[in-house]
Amino acid sequence: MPQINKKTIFLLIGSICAFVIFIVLADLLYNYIQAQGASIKSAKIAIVVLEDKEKDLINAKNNLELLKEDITKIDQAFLSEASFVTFLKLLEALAQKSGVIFQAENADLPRSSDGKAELNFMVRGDYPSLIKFFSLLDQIPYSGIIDQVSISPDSTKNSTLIVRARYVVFNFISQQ
Amino acid sequence: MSLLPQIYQKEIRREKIFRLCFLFFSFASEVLLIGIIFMLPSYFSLIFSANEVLRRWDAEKQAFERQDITSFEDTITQINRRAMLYTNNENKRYHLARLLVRVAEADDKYIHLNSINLQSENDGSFKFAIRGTATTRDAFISYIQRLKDTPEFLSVYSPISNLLRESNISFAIDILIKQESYYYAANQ
Repeated sequence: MPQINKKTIFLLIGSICAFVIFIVLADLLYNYIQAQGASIKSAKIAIVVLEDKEKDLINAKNNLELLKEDITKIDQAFLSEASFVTFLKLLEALAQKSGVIFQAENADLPRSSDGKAELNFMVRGDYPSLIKFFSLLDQIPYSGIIDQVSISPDSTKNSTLIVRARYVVFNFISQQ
Repeated sequence: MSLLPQIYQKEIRREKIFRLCFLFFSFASEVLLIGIIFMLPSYFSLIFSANEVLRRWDAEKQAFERQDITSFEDTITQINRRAMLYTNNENKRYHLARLLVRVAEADDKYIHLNSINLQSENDGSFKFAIRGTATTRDAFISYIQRLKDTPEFLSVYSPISNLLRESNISFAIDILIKQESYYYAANQ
């Protein structure tokens, strides 16, 4: 009866064991590399996104700095209790520039920013000067509209007209 | 044809199979080993770079959080809101001076205006109510025609009573202004 070659069997078992060990090892290594690679990749993407956001933020801050003058102009175009005297002074300056006499008669400031401020005023002067005054009034930064006008001759002076008007200011912000 | 007895022939075939299997597993193990050797540099580079990348990410996050985004966003929102309100309000503006110029342009030496009133209608449109005198009926009719030809005016209403006299006419007319020229709805 022939004997089984034990050396061949041991070698075979050894090679199978080595194969199993290597396959387990390779699988672990591969999975580790995959998982770690994915997490590093997502971290790098997050870093790039954060860097972009930071750049955008810096750009936005710089733009805000550049637009500061315009923003201030817009802020100043809004009437409030605090800026009401400035508004009146502006109208008086317009009247002086156009050669008419300006007189504020009544004002109504709303309690909330939703409302609209109103100013009743009277101007006195000849027709061309009055048109010049209204033309300048149409350009003032406090957006609004004249919703009532009454033009009648001044009984005391020839060619002089008296205008009573109401200017509704859209740009109003409450101080509260 | 083999001269070996049957039992030895079987033994030799088994030995061959064992050796072939051994060769196969040895070869496969070598392939796997080579693969593992090739994967090792990636493994070590990942181990070393992972900490650095994660540290950098943390640093970026902390730097970003220090920027006080919320208050900056609030500022931007407020500026945008105000700028939008400003633009909307500017779009609602109309120029009265141009209309007064149109009224003056229609006038001539035969027409004398006593009063001009700008009144708002319920639908947000406006009208001029003009009172005055005309030296002759023809002068008054041509004045009305000039007003009707003014592009900013929608219609001119002149009551028939204005035409009763031939000279020294006292008239009262209403001029409806086009909404695209002057408009304001108080509740808008």
